[in-house]
Amino acid sequence: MKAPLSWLRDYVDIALPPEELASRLALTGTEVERVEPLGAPEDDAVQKHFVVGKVVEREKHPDADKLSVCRVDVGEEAPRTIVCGAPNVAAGQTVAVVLPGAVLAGGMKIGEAKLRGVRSSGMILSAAELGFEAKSEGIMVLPEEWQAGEPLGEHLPVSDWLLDVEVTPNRPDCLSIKGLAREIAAITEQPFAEEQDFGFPVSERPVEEDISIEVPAPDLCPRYAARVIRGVTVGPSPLWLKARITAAGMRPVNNVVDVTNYVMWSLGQPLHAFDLASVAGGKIIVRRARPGEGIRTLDGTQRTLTDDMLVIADAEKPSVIAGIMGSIDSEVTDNTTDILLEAANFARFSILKTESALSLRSESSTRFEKGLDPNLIPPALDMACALLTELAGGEVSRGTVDIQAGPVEPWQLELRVARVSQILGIEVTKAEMADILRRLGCEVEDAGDRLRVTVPTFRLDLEREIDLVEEVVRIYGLERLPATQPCRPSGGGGLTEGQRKVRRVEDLLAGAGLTQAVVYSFVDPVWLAALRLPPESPQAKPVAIRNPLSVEQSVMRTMLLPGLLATAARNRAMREERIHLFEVGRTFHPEQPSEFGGGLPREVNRLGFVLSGPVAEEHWEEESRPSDFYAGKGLVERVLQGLGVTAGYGRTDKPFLHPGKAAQVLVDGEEAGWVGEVHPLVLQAFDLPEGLVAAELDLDALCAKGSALTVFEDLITYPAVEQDLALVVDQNLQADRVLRVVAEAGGPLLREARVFDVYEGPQVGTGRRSLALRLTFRSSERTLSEEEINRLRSELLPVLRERLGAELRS
Amino acid sequence: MSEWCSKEATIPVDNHILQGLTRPDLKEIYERGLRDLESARTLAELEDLRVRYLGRKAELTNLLRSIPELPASERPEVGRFGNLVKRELEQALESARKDLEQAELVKGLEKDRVDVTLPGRPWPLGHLHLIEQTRREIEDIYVGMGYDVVQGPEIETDYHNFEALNHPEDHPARSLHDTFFVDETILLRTHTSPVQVRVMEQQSPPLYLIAPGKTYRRDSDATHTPMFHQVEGLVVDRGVTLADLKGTLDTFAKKMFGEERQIRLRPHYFPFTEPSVEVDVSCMACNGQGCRLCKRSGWLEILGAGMVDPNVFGFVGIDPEEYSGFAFGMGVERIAMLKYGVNDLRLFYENDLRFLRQF
Ligand SMILES: [Zn+2]
Repeated sequence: MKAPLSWLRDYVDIALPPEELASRLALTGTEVERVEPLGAPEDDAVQKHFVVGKVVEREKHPDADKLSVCRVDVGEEAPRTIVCGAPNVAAGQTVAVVLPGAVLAGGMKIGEAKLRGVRSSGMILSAAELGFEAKSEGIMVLPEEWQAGEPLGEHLPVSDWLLDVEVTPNRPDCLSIKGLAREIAAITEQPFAEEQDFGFPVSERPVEEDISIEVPAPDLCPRYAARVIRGVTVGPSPLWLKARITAAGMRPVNNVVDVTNYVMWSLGQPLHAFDLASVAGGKIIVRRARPGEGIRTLDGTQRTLTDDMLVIADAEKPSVIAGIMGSIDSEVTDNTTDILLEAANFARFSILKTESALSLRSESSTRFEKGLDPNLIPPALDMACALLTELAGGEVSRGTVDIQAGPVEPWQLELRVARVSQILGIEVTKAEMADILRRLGCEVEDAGDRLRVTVPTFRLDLEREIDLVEEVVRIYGLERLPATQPCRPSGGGGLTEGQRKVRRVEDLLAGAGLTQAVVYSFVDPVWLAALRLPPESPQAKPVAIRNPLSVEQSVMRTMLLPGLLATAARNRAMREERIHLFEVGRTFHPEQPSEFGGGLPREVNRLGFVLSGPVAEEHWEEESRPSDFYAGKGLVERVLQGLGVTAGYGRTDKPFLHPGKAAQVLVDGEEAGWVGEVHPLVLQAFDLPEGLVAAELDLDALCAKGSALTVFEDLITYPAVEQDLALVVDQNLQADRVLRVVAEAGGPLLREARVFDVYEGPQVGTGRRSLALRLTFRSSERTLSEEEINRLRSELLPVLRERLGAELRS
Repeated sequence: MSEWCSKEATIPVDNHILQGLTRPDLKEIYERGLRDLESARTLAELEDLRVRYLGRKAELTNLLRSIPELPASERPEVGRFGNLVKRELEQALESARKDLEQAELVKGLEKDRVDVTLPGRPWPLGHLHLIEQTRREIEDIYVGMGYDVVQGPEIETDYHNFEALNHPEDHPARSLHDTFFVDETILLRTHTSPVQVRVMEQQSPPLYLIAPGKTYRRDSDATHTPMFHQVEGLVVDRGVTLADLKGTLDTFAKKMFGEERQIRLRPHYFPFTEPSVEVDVSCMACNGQGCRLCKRSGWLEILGAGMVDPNVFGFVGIDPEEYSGFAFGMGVERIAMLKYGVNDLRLFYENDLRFLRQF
């Protein structure tokens, strides 16, 4: 909302410098986006150069067709010579003159100048040059009664300040100069001046003879009022009106439209002027649109309406989408002589719905959508009638058509004095509260421990006691509040074990060289196919967003992998060689019930990573290993170790993974994730080179499994003894099968068995390989003797030979 | 030879051990031997000396070997002092050998040099995302003040996201234009505030909690991403005041942005708090003097807050006459941008390693 200071001053004295006023407004809840000077600089040194002039003589410039040489009386001893390029300049005109030494809006300096050989000591101004309109055809012709030499600033806002304020949605009353002025009066403790009564000529003809109005949709239109003005002359608005309309950021059109806009800006009540001749049957019907009914709005767009939209129609067709925009056909034109002036109140929810359905908003609808005081209607009609008859002539038909459900009266609220300090944490005296509320336009009555507050109808947002508390502290000043701390009686607080575990996993991965990515939760459904997921797989049935911004962000991810692959690809395109990324985030599963109920999809916290390129950074001394299956698996093992979880690994046939280099991660027999080299076809689809290993783990499941507490075990008194065992087995025998049999056959003293070397080659023969195992034996009761260990080891061998076909490597 | 392994220069010729020795030959062997050992500069020289003084053909060895052939009167003296001299020379030899060995080792090290300015072998180091780092900082500050950290679903019901937070049905945020919908009543949460409702539905006051998480709005331009992160805060207890909110946020701002920071509250409007405020922190770039970052105002907006609206308490069955509370919500990206000087929101979601590795 743009508010020129000169306009606000119609209602309130503003003594504060504009910047200070802006900061006071900001600190009381009205955000000021900009404060800027309008027109010429305000200081007197500049102002005295703007004067009224009379064109005494006009001659054609001897050397230029389009220029005139004028003699202009600016109240000095002799007229000045001024060269003017405007086609409309003529002797006898009263004009606006700027003298050398002045500065125009935008900083342009005026000096003496020679134009094609003729010295010009000043310039005759157009309205545009003073910022009163966007573009002018010629110079401004001023009223004759203005005297030569008078300061122009006495008649016109040559210089002004503009406040551009952002009004919170609960304060539509401030979407008007008057409302804003009332707010300024309250916060600067200045008196607020209501406007004078408006007078206008009224004819004998009753308005009912001009027009009849029906409101068959009172639920969407609580009040509809209209007046008729006959015999107007449509034409351009006077300069002061153009100046205000332009300063407010609107475009001057003609006197009728400008007046309706002016009243809307002044009071906050939108008005609509119809050409009465275009109202078929002299009848206005405020009704719901008929399905499919069309209207071509002022912006030139043909729109199709639905039956939950309100229109203002005549006997035949809709001419306005109520409160939002009129049609081109009913617009006031230069030939209009009779006007129907509408001031109405529309239900905000209906306005919002229609705006949203049509993607159409206007200055009018942004006010209606926030809810307006129905009692704004009579003064708005009065002000408009007074201005219209003054500026466009004509007479107002007697009376007002005013259809409303019932009058809206001021209402009463109680404010408990103690409640205020209870909420705010500071003592505000009863007198201060009463004073603040009165300044805001309330009537306040002292009722002992409480105030009885009568709220004016323009403050529709003040419905409850708490609303009054807010008003009190807002004006009292938040800066006066102390800064205290709530006392937390029970202490406590902290991260849960699960939250700490997630942090640990993240730290661990960052410590292993991976960098964390944060990827959008919505993905492109194309990715699901790129991952070669069959349509029936649960991962291929994501939660879909009904109104996505784009198809690329239209479904909620079921896996982290696609986002990570896309991120890797983007970095790859930036010539990154070594791309090690991880993400911790949620995936969304519509086929599973959520712990939160309510028909929501299940959300799972997952950990995902991708490794592409060498494991370590390049180094002059050392060659790095590639990111292969075992690199990924090692990382998964590390994560699981960090969480205190032991897992098994089994083959998996996930379609997006290399069939031979991928495993599912099993915890207590259930899949808790996977790790593997990504299928080359998937990598192709993502524009990634071959050789990328990825993994995903269900963090919720893993955090729930891992033991919370490590209990001390004495590993020192009776130390462990290690024994190595090199077995030759069939090449295809999986290591974990060997380890499982070893574990079963090793007896209770065998605490751990792991593979520390693998050999394939001529020494063990084709189709065979050697696995070197390190066995750890330990008793918690005694130190194991060498003979005992040797016996345990030799007992193992026949079992391994029998069950695995294993032989001791010689 | 380094200073610290050199020996005292004086040889104890009149060593008390040899007191009473009268034979000049033994005395001479002893003194000459010690002197020679002392002057040995290499292990090879030392070996020569060992052979010369203690070898099988050495003078002393010969003398000791010849004892049986000596006159009986000489035997005791030669026997006693000969062996003493031998022991002394052996000890001196041993200690000279140690000295020389150490000296040679040290000399060898001097030649064994690397270019200390070449890079070390890489131990991989990754990075937490700046959003994660910032979220943790925020969490840790409030955990330190006794708050719990709770989570809620990212796909929410309309009821929890809007209705129970006092957004009327015609609130603009509820439109298809601003909110991502899954169906009529299910949507991507537009703020972390629904977690307030979920917690208050399940637990009774006192409540001191924050709820960090992802949020979604249908907006994408230079200053908006359709997904972003918020941290919600909620305190409900007896006697909680707006002044308590101010103090809490003041503590937060100082811990997050530095002890010298000030905060300022401006009245604002949110449907689910009343009174509502926006909170500014004094600009860290110019210390409140006014600069480009703070648009000359000296202040930077960091969050929205307010006292829990009695209507919200009504939805979750908490008596607003008995309890009061405050809530606040901040954008993690906004805090990170201010604290770390990141100038483009979109960087957070491009995940360009060149950006991520900076932090
Ligand atoms: Zn600054």
